[in-house]
Amino acid sequence: MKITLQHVDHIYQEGGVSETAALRDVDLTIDDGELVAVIGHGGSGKSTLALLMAGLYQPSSGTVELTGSKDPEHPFRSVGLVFQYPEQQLFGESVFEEVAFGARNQGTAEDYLPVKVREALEQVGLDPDVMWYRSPFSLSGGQKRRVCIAGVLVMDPQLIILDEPTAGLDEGGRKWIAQLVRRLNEEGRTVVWITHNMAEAAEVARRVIVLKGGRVLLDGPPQQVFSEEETLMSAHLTPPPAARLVRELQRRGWDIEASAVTVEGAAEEILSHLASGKEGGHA
Amino acid sequence: MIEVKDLHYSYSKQEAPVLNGLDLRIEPGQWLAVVGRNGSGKSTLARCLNGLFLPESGSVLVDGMDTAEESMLYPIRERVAFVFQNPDNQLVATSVEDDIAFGLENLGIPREEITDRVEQALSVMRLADKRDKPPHLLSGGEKQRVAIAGAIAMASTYLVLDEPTAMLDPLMRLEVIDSLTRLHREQGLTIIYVTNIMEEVLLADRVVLLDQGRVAKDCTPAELFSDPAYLIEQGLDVPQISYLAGRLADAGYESLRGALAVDELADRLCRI
Ligand SMILES: Nc1ncnc2c1ncn2[C@@H]1O[C@H](COP(=O)(O)OP(=O)(O)O)[C@@H](O)[C@H]1O
Ligand SMILES: Nc1ncnc2c1ncn2[C@@H]1O[C@H](COP(=O)(O)OP(=O)(O)O)[C@@H](O)[C@H]1O
Ligand SMILES: [Mg+2]
Ligand SMILES: [Mg+2]
Repeated sequence: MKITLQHVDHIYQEGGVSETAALRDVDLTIDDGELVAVIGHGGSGKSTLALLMAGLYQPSSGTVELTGSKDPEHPFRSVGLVFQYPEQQLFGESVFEEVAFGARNQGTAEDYLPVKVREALEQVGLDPDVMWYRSPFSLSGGQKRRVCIAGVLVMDPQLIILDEPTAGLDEGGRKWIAQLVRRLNEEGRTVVWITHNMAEAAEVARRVIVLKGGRVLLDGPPQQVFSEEETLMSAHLTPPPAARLVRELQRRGWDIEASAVTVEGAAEEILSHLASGKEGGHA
Repeated sequence: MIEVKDLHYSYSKQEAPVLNGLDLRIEPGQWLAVVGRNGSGKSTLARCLNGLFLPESGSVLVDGMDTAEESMLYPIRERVAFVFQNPDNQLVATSVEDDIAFGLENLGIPREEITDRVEQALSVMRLADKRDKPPHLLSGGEKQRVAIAGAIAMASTYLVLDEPTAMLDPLMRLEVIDSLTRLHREQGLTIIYVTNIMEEVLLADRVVLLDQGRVAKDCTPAELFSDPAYLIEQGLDVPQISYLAGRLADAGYESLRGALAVDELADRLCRI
């Protein structure tokens, strides 16, 4: 499913004393099957963009359009949003109720709900038998996050948006999310991943969109976006350490391409430089 | 000094204890980082340090005062303050100033002293120009600084922070870290800092790693990072540069192993 934003502005408390323009003149197209990371400093408009893409907010002006939804009458029902803070999403009395909610809304028959919920919990690595009756609020931060994701997966969305899903997770949790994002995309879903972890974006996404003050500042493959070090700095962002290292070596006279953005990419560039014996420039 | 002796804690009788015979001594003036995978017991331990949770067995002594003694609760809360992960859940009042005063009013401290302490906290956290603002209109980094101001207005010796920057972006994170570094240096505050962000561990003098409710490692940050395989086994993040340095060392460039920062690794590479 494809999503197109045209001339989108979003203004909170329009006309009020604390009027805030959260998004300004955003033009974006995300094609069916893309895996996109959205990065930006706090307040740059990432969560607002997510809420608009999910159809939960209407833009103050401009349009948000979905094409290719399996439910053309209600296209936004094919979009799933995992909220930035689990507390914004969770409300159910039990994990079962929590996850069943979305499926029930889609009209899933009551006696089929347990099957769907079970499947969704297994997909996020939670044991249905242990979790079923527990209150979502008694769970750890990482478990809450998984329940929120299950609550979205149960609806089998064609476009899934995850708003900073790794915040507050440990390394195991972050790796798991990165794998999940890849898997969801391989299953044919369009995935939008909001993060402020540059290394994550570099390792996983094929396209990176950078927001600054509610506008799109950069948009392209990670190699290209992370080579714009100064532009990123102007948005209070820094490229991932591996990317900074290869650029630093280039500045010190190493004859390398310096386009790597991942650990593996940087290791390859450095090792091939060392092996070629181009010791020259870096006295 | 905070002394934790053979501490056990469970949330319910049916489940295995979350803290399982934990021993730890925290000397005044230290900056201690606490790390460990999700569920290893970091938050539970942190909440035991000021009597928010009470030991099932074993004890927690704050400068000799036992958290299990009810009469000690206020004197302990005047020494050990707490800052939570999510700034939105801990700010209550309608202005920054009132928010900082809130906890003090609850402790029954006289009016003039409250005013003094609030002024002091506003100035240390560089929040004086925000005093009249409603907290919900502040950025996440500012909110967290207000929470810290409230904490240090309450307690002067130990500050316990449970992943205070986990929900913040890199810029706000620096803002919070800068204030903490200043507090630690200028006021000699003891910092007990729970985190999963390895760059932040480097700020500490000492790091303890929790595993299944016990201290599994107690060392300096440099010692901890010298063993990426152990970090991975413990579910911790290996900083990208340490990981890359290890990867290049494994390929035959042994002198690179252990580099922690971009410039340091670049320096070492240029010396090959
Ligand atoms: N419900 C709201 N009411 C008023 N202002 C808001 C609201 N939500 C967000 N904002 C403001 O809109 C801007 C963009 O916020 P947001 O989309 O949450 O950014 P991000 O997710 O990148 O941190 C910020 O200035 C923020 O303070
Ligand atoms: N309020 C609670 N009720 C029941 N179990 C809890 C509660 N809080 C934490 N736990 C459990 O205790 C264990 C340790 O949790 P915690 O101290 O939060 O670890 P950490 O902060 O290291 O992630 C986890 O298994 C968690 O599920
Ligand atoms: Mg956001
Ligand atoms: Mg915790």
